[in-house]
Amino acid sequence: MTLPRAYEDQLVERAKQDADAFGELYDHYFGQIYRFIFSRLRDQEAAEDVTSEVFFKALRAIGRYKPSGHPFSAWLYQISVNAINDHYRSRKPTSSLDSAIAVADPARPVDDRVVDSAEAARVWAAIDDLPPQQRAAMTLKLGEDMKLAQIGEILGKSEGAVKLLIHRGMIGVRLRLGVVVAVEEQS
Amino acid sequence: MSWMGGWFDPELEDLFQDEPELIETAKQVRASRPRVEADPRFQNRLRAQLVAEASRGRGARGVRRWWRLGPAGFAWGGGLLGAALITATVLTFVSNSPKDQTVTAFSQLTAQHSVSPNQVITVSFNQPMKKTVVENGVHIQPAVKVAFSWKNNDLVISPVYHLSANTPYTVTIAKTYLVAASGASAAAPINITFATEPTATPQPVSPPSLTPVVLGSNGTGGSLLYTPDGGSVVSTVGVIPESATTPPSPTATPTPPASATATPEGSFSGAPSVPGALVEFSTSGPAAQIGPLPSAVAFSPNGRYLAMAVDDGNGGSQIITSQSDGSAPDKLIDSPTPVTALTWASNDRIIYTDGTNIDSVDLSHTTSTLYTLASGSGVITSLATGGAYAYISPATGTGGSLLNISSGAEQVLHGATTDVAFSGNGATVAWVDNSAQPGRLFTEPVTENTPDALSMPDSNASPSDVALDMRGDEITYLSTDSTSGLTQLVVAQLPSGTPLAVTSISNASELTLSPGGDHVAFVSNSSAGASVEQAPVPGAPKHQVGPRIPDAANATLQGFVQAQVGQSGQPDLDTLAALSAPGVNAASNTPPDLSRAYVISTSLEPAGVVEASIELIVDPDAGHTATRVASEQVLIAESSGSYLVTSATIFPLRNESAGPHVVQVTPITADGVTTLLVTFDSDLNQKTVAGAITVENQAGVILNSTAVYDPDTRTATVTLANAPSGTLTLEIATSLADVEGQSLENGFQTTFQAGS
Repeated sequence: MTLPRAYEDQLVERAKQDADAFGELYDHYFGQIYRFIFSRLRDQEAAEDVTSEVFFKALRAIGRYKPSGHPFSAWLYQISVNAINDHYRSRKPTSSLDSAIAVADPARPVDDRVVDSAEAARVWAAIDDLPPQQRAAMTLKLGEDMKLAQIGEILGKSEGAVKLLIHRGMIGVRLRLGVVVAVEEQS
Repeated sequence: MSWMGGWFDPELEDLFQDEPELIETAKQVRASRPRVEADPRFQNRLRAQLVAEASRGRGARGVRRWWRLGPAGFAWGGGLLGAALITATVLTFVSNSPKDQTVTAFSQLTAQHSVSPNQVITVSFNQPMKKTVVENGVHIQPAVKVAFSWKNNDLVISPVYHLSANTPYTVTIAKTYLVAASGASAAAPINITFATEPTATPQPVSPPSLTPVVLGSNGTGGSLLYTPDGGSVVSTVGVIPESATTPPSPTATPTPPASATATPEGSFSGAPSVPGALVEFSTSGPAAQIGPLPSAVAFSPNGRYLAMAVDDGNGGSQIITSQSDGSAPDKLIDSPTPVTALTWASNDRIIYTDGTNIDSVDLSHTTSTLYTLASGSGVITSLATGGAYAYISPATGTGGSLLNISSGAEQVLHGATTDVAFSGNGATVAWVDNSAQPGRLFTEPVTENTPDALSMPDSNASPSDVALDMRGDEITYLSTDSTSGLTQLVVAQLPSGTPLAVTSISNASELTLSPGGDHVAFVSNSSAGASVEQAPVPGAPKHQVGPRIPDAANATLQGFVQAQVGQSGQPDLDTLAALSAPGVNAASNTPPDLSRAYVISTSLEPAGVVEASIELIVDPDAGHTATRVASEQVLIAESSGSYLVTSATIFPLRNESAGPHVVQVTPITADGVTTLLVTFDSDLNQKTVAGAITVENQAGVILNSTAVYDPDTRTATVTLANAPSGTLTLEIATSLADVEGQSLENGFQTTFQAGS
């Protein structure tokens, strides 16, 4: 659910001085930010760490925030993307493609496969293996159902560039999933 | 238009219109996206942290890095809390080789619940060991510099600087180092866990006595004051030996005699006719005469200049300025009436009074009259430092008034006022109310009409001869018991009145405190004459930076944390509830099985809220061999006259990292120098200390500081010679290492308030 823009702008302004207003922003955006971060990290402890980092950074910087015509959430996602990248730089991913290979079953229909959590992990492990920008664009589009323009705002890219990232990301996922299938078929 | 399994994204359909296989992949990816909900406890906890942080106005800048950082700030030492639950491993090894004797070992720490920090660690083997090999395998966390010795088959591990109090320890000897003289090897490493006893809780004791030393001889009457750096005592009627009467410096004007008369050019001539002059007494050097006998004297705010009023021989006074050592005297003005008090309003302007008028004169000799007391209204007897306020003693009766010099407004001080004194910063006034016996001692901020009666150690005694320190957080007075006639010199904290020192004394007068409150000076009168004496104030060598934490808030904090630790791993729920405001559910958030806790920092936030950083500790046990720590942030606020915990944010338990940890940060200040005492749980590699510690101002500029490490106390003393007022940040980099080469796992950062 999106806050009415005028109300959100007022709320952000109040949040620069008013702790309760910041709490209201937190209440509204916590779920999607946490979900986005978790979808990238898939580790509860790490997701909680990074989510905390994101909101504390937001609190620290909100005094300098100026509305840019984009939703406030875009700013939070920007912080999140950076925090996730920092996390990846400091730690290895918590799961790997290798761990998912053994449980893949390409013969099953897609709709059946997705209910299998291992299959879900395998698919998103393929996304994890993408270059950072493709990974972020794919997560925001397919994990958060964002518009291309909004993704561009978060990543600092044009809409066309985001399209390119998603297109390449999608091909990359297919390739990675295809390689897995090939390995399993050989075995 | 296509719906992808109920999900339609026109942007992706457009993007992949010619690549249906990518649409299929997108469908697969989206359908498999994680469906996870955050732990509501985490969500609520984080919200509380954020709102609490935002409430303290740190949204714009300076949010403490709570995550993964240790707490910080001024410390109430962590050693007061918690009964130690200690487990120690019973060590039993079986040799891998059946031909070898079975190797067993045990530690004397096994099953002890509280180990003295002075304890040695003994590991007893059942057969001779390869000593050097075993010693090389000993590892202690937190790191301790140790010496090894052997007593038969016992390895005695002796800490060089004793163990830290209230600290869980793990001693390990790796399996590969457990080699018997016979060649037998152990089946498992040695792993001893124990914890040390808390520091003994301070018991109420009688305040210590003063130990005065005589600085020199004094004449009759007069008054004392400290030099701005607190290093010397100045008497207005000091007497120095004839041989010691030398000019204060090679460039100084010849020392004026006690009754000297200033020439129009501002230099002195004449010979002393009565004993006594402005004399500076120091414990580090000979007494020096720095001026003639004045009727009033004061140092400028920057400490560089001295202003004095001296008899002009014609019934009036000359106001003379000089360097602080008395050199380069310069007559500012000749007052036709005798000046009875003076002070500096700024470094170039002096305010003075003759009891009726209050006038000012600046260094360019410009004068003005600030206030004139109506005839018959009393006498202006003292001026607050800075010249904003004055005390008017009444013409008749028992009252007295505090005068706002600029506005002319008067505020009657409570009771029958005598012995009025101002703090060195002019912000606090103290007086004795003699309207009833025994008399009472009052203090209040000069800007408020809120007299606060001071609790005195002898309820039957009357106070007199009052003096305050620079900041008004320490007071000294004479306390005379009306029954016994016994007189005591008392130095006490304000506003609590808690005595820092009490000494029986007779015939003392002219009490004065050093600016930092770490010394008290007085005139001791005897049949042999008067002397100037000085004594250090025990327990008050330095002052905490920033406002003092209210005693009641500190008591609430201690009680709260003690209740969290509780007994035998069970928190004291009743006490937690009693000390918590409604809505603070500390009991449910407190980790179970706590062994101890450290209050690492307390600070007084705006609006009187006390913030504390705490670490809650679970000692290792058989089920969890690592020490676990949970960081906690507590807010305490006054509610209906008592202090309650209004917020308790507790982070999840985590395994304590290897390497050193900060356990206490204490900011203190004295004589304008800010010092941070940073205490660690480990013996540190001294070479890494200075380079790892920095202090920044609010702009992020690193301030000049020095850091000296004392291995005996595991404390680094960080000194800031010219710390600016306001919020400063202490940072400790991960380059800090212990004696085993283990680094601080995470950078440590904390903010503190500096300045007066």
